[in-house]
Amino acid sequence: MVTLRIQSGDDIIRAYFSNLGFSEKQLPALTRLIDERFGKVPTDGDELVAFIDAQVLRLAKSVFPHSVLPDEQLLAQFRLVFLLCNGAQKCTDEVLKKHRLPEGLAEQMRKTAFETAPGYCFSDMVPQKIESPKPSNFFHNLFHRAKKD
Amino acid sequence: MQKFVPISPKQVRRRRVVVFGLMIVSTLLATLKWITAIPSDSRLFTQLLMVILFMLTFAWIALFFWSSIFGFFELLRKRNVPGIHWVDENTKLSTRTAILMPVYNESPTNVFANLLAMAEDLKKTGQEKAFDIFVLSDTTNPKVWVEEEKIWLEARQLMSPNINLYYRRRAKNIARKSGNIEDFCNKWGAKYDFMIVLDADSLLSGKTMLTMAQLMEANPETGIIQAPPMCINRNSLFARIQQFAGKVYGPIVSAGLAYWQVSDSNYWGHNAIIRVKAFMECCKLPVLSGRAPFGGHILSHDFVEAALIRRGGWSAWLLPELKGSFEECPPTMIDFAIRDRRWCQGNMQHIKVLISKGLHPVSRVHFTIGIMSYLSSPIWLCFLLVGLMTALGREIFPPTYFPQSYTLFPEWPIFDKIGTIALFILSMFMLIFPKFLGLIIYLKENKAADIGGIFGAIKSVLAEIVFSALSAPIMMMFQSKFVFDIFAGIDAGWNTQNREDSGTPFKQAVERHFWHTILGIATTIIVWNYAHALFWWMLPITVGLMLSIPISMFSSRESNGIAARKHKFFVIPEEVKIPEILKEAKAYLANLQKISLDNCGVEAIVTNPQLNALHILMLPINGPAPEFSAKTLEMAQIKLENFINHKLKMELTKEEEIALLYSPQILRKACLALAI
Repeated sequence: MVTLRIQSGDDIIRAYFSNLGFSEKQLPALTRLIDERFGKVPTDGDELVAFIDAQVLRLAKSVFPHSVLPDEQLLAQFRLVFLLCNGAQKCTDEVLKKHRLPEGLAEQMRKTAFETAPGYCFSDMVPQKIESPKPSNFFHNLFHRAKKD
Repeated sequence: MQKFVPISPKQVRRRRVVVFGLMIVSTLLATLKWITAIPSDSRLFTQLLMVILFMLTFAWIALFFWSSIFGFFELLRKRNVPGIHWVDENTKLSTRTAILMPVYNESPTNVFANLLAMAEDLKKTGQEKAFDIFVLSDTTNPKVWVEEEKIWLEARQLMSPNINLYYRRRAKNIARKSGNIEDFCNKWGAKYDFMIVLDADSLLSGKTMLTMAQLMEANPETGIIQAPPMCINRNSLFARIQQFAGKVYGPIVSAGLAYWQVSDSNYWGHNAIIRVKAFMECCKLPVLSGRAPFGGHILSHDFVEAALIRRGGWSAWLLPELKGSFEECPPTMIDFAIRDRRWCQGNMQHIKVLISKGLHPVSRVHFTIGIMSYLSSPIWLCFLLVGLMTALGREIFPPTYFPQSYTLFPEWPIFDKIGTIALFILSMFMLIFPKFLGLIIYLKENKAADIGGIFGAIKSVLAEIVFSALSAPIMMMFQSKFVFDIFAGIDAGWNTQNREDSGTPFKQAVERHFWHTILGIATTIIVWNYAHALFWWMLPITVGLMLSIPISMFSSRESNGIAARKHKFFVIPEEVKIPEILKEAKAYLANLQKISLDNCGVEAIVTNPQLNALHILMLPINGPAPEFSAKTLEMAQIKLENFINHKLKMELTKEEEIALLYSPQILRKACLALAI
């Protein structure tokens, strides 16, 4: 697995939120908030990322309450749509405190969200035979025509 | 609204009897004349061979000729294809249509620009909600895969909100394009009534797509409707000649085919609408027994699908009335030949399908035409070789004027020179005359100014005839080699078609045409020295071969194509009065080309958080990841770590890049690591 060159837990938190479009100005408040919530010095970067993911996933579920996507994809959808809507400019660390996005932003995100492909509607195609000609029934094959049912 | 023209099965049969009857009669008459023209001193076997080869070659020309003649009269009388019910253009659709764009390592900017233009044009019909667009990617190049995702995201935002633009990529491209469509049908087919199948360079106007869907609704027995595509958009001289020929001669060829095919037409693989139910019932293609090139997955699936749909009792239509259907042709002779290699293999595979059970006789004719369009080249080559050998044989073994039996008079070998010249003129007439008929119809129905004025049009037709004559022997050699390769068991593989006007470099021209040139020079020397009587007969063929390198290079140049246009050669109306949809496609292309596609692939996914999220979001729809070894992924991770921590270039192999692209957790973590 990729090794994160971690200086501190704060590095990870800052990286996480800067990837969501938050500016340098907004990052200290967010970092403080996560630090407080996490409540310990992280020994493992993955653990901290999983913790922030859980916080963001809660937000994602509030924005897309009817989504049937698995958590990994829901999180990705949230990140994508949040970036497309410039979400970072429309909210503060309050969103993490309240676990809710401003209604205007949430509505915009719901409108911006899209399906990559519609839900499956499985049905099988009927296998066809293309029979190789046999000398004995060559002419029969050639002139016999199938009729539609 | 177009009028419904009734037709009975008896009338359909009569049409076929007349066209094929005329073909057979003209071939027999010409063959009888040819029998008298063959030198009488030839051996019986040689004579027989020459008669058979002549017959096959002439029959091919005769079918094209008579089909075009009937096409000409159909267009002259402005008759619609009979038997199909037309509807008012304002008729509301009650069905849903999926527009399918299967792609394989194509330029995403071009593909999505065309789709955006088509969606924009559909919007003008007011019925765009009845359509969804699917980009069905079989792309194997990881960089192009990420480019597709990036451009798709952009296109999605530019797209009208009433039309869904979906994207899915297959991890394993089983059965190529037909497998790609089958995968769509298995997953989403049940949601749609019809599907419009496109090619990467296809462009269909909104009105045409709407009409196609309306026709499908109004004709519930219809399985396929094919809109004949017109070649556009290219500037190389070679492509411009093809475009002009397609525009001026294409309509009578299409009308001629539609005249005798009626409801048993063919499907050309794109720019067609298909009833999903019919397709799902009839078109799951089997894997042919044996190994490639004859066995394996069916390459030219379109003909087979049309035949199977017809076998299932549905009808298939070619409707020349449907305008606004465009495609692009290969820009150079070599690109054309590369595409031909694939098509040739696909058509040769049809030999196995041709005599299978239950097919409609007209479907068998389609297969025969497809097979013969490639086999005719080696047949023509054999015909020339036999003729040449006969002449050389006479030189080496001179005729015996006084045989051993006692006779009063010498036995002169009889050679009907006038008969041979007459047959030559007849063949040329049958090849060239339909081109002028095409021009007459074009000028009757359109403005001459749109194709460079009357003088410009005539000189373009004449120049096209000269170019066709020079390039015919080159294509004959290409296609003959393809056929021999296929019979020798060499597979064509699956390569992306070049669609850019890039010009053929000298090295490539020499590589491809070296043997053509040598053969042309050698034949000229041999004929000049040992069969002088044949020299002038062979000249049109030997000149083409000897000049194959310069012809190929000259015709591949964009500058020569543009210069030709300046001098009013090969102008097509789509260049004079650019259709709205082409303008829109160009505008969208310019827009999408602004998006940077540098360093696409893993690098883009780990450095761009938006793309990172998009890629991870889209992974499950692409199906399960392909198999790759743990070692490949390990090596890829090391390179990725070096990129993140030491700013080293990644230089991933294709397998490593694919392995990483299917590892969402690694990509996510790498994206975070780079932000630290």
